[in-house]
Amino acid sequence: MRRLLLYAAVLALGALALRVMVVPAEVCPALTPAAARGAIAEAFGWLERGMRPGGLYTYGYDRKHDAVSEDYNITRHAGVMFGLYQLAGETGDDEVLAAAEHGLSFVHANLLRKDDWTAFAEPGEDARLGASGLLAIALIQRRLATGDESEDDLIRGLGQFLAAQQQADGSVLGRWSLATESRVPGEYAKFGTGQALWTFALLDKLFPGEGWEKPARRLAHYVATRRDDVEGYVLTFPDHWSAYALAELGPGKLGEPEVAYARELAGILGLNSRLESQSGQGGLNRVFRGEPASGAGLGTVSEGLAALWRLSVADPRLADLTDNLSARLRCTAGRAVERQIDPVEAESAPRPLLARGAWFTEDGYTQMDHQRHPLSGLLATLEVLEAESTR
Amino acid sequence: MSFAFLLVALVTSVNPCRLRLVLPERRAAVALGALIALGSGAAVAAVGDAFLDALDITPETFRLASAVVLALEGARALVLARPTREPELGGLGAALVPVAFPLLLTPGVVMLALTAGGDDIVGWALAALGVAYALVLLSTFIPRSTRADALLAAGGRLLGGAEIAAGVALAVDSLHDV
Repeated sequence: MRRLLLYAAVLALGALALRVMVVPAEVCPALTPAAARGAIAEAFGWLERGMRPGGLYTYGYDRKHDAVSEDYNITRHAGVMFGLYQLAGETGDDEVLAAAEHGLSFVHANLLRKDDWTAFAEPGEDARLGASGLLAIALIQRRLATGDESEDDLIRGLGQFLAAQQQADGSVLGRWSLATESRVPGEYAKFGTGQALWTFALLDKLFPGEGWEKPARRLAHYVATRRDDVEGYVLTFPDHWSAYALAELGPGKLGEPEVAYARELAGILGLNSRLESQSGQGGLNRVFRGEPASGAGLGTVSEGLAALWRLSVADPRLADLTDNLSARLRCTAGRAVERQIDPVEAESAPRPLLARGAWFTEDGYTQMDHQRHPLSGLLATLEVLEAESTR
Repeated sequence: MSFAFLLVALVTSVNPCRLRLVLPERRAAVALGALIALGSGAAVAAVGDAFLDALDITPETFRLASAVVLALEGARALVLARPTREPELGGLGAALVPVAFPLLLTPGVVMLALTAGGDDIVGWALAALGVAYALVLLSTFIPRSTRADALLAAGGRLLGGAEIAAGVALAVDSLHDV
């Protein structure tokens, strides 16, 4: 009997260890459309209050040291514009549109124009794939939100830069060197590839018959079949931009390799969502799961899951993923809403208006993309919630 | 999770070869113990979904925990091919201790039953568990001898290795699932 009790005790301890180390509870706060809209409005407020002369936005804020960051990043600048144009398109709100248009003057002052293409790059700097891709995406969102064709030439020029970076195997190089006046071989952009893919897909839809489908299909095939190996990712790279792109291309333009890739991407984003939902800001969850995701992390997972949800609804080959994608999306978006600094919490910050509506990391820092990604993610989640309520 | 996978995972977790080395020689007790264990496994699987809900764990995540248990159990079988004999209750009581518990209701079986419950494939799990326990019963027809024991120990090790592989496959499955 004693031996049996000892055995039972070992099992109980093992179960406890499993619970703490492998399967802590996945905490998913309930998410309502009203709460999501409120969080979007607060995130927008942070970005709008950050408008600075020269078409810039506030880059970052360190709450612990009450320091506003003097850094800037043009890719994130384009990202902010993208999010704001998305929101303007959804709401038709002139105030939102004005905040997005604010960033245009900085864009026009930082263009590298060549005979065949235009890139978004600061004077004297190399042209990077991600900045131009994301700017093209932002300007296409602008076009969709306003119908204004005044930036069409710039959109095409940016697209041509991305196409000029494309190699024979479909991949796209991450940088164009000002010093050598040529592409930098062997250098890829972590997120730039997915941004280029989505840009091609959007361009194909916006300007059909102009030849954008071919680079889109070639890049999609590369991303689906070779990118992780070539660019050195052990697991499938959780690329929300590629998720956007796959949803944009839609079932008609996706072959079996691309659909298989969409499934893998859903898996890795789902895993990220589940792991994040097990993290906590203290206690054993903090020890075994690390720091909870930043606002950018929560937002990118939401953006990716929502895009793949749209694709799974449209493509019967992925229909079995729809329910789980929805569940993970609701969970991640719910956690994003819960972790945003509300007006009451913001009062305790040295500068409440730089804290309100923001998502801070554990060390008390936030930057523009920590607000922009959740804004886009929650917008996409709202679309899913609304679609599900009518299904 | 396919039926074939469940079958492999449950058979390797029960490990009839290794078990044969410590099973009581009374076949009736083994048969009754298998029925008790099968009934218990069915009960565990039936509450699997509710259990995971109560713990706030998705089935996809719980698969990872099952994978860890399978891998550890497999490693134990690989390293300790000859288990020590468990104390027995008298008469048919041996069906309960040690046959049903701890020999047949292994941690791996319990975890896989819960996993199957979470995945709504309780029927498959019970069928696979039934096959695993039938193999245990069949193993009692193997007469014990030095040579037979050596072969059973080797078979137990082989199944232990297979259980580790099943654990790895389940972990990969968990990592790929949404």
